Amino acid sequence: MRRRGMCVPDAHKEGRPPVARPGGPALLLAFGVSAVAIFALTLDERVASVLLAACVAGAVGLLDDMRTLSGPVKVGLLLAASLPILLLQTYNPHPVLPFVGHLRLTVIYPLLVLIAIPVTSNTFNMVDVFNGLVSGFAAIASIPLLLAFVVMGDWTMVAVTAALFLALAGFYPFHRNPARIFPGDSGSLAIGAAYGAIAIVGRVEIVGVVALIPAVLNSFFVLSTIRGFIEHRRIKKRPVKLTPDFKLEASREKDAPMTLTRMMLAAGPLPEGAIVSSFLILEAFAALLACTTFAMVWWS
Amino acid sequence: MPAKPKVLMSLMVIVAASWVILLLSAYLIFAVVTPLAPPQGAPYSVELAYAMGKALLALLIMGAWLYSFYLLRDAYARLTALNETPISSASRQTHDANTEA
Repeated sequence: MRRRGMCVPDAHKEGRPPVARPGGPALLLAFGVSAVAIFALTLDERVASVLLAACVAGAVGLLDDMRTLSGPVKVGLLLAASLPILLLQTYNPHPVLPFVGHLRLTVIYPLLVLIAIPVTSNTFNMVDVFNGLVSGFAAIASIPLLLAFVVMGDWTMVAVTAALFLALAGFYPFHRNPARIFPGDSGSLAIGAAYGAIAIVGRVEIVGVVALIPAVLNSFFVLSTIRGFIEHRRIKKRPVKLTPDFKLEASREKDAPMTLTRMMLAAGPLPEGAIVSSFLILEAFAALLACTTFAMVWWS
Repeated sequence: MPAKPKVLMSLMVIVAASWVILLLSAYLIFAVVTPLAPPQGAPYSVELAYAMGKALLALLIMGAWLYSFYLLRDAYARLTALNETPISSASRQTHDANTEA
């Protein structure tokens, strides 16, 4: 990849060393091969929906990796990633909520599916800012889904979620600090689409949402400060600054985007690895809450 | 070494609070607002008023849920007692502008 010029500088390291990008196609291939095998064995259309959603989002991401797309265009194109779920009708418009039970959302649910995949894709895309973060974050976030499917006895979805988890776990050693490869938008968008699609077709929507709370908060804080969909590389004021000893410190500019990282750095500068560890600890906590939510759904 | 325990604990409190608010909002919308129904045989205008009222209430709850994110962010600064925590909420900006004036 280096010979072909498919490298980008690692902005948080001394000398900004070049790192291969995009790793998304490799990640998608690892997940895709397993998903195709599961589909061949089960002929379950839900597996096809998840795979197609991830492929469409991955293709949009690849386009974005090659020529940066504007925020609204990217969100618009990502609507297409929801279509496999809608066209194959692999959704069930009766989601279950704790203390409420089954809901009847026959009309509104397809609309929610249409926006859910762009939302999850962009949510993962917005946490892809440090070495090893998005792959580690997504791997931890997929554990509550995996456990939920085991309890439900939905073995097809167990296999699909395990395929995603293992693809991420296999990618993580190359992506962790110091990274040898970046997933790029093709990777982060595909991960987000696969995650969202698994939560929808597996009927564990609320568990999926709760596991993503730290990333959702991060996205909300960013969107509320920059007031709109702007491609993250085009945000002029950065939420964090690099210190001379290559640590990250919170920006003191009031109109810089408010991100979870900026909040994490409120107590002082931290090295990149420490920030990623903090994010993963926070995500593990959210995964625990997601498991609790599933228990509440299961027993209510 | 991850971030200081105080910072991590505060962020965990924010995540836990968001979780509680999310479940509470969903409960209020789907278990309290949605089942509201006009008395049987009520005229069409009453049914319409009920439907609009329910939609408005649901929007209000969702709005409050989103607003809670701002409140949580600002509460973070108080929880950590870090005066230098960057805050860009409208209330803080108004406060700063008034102070400068």
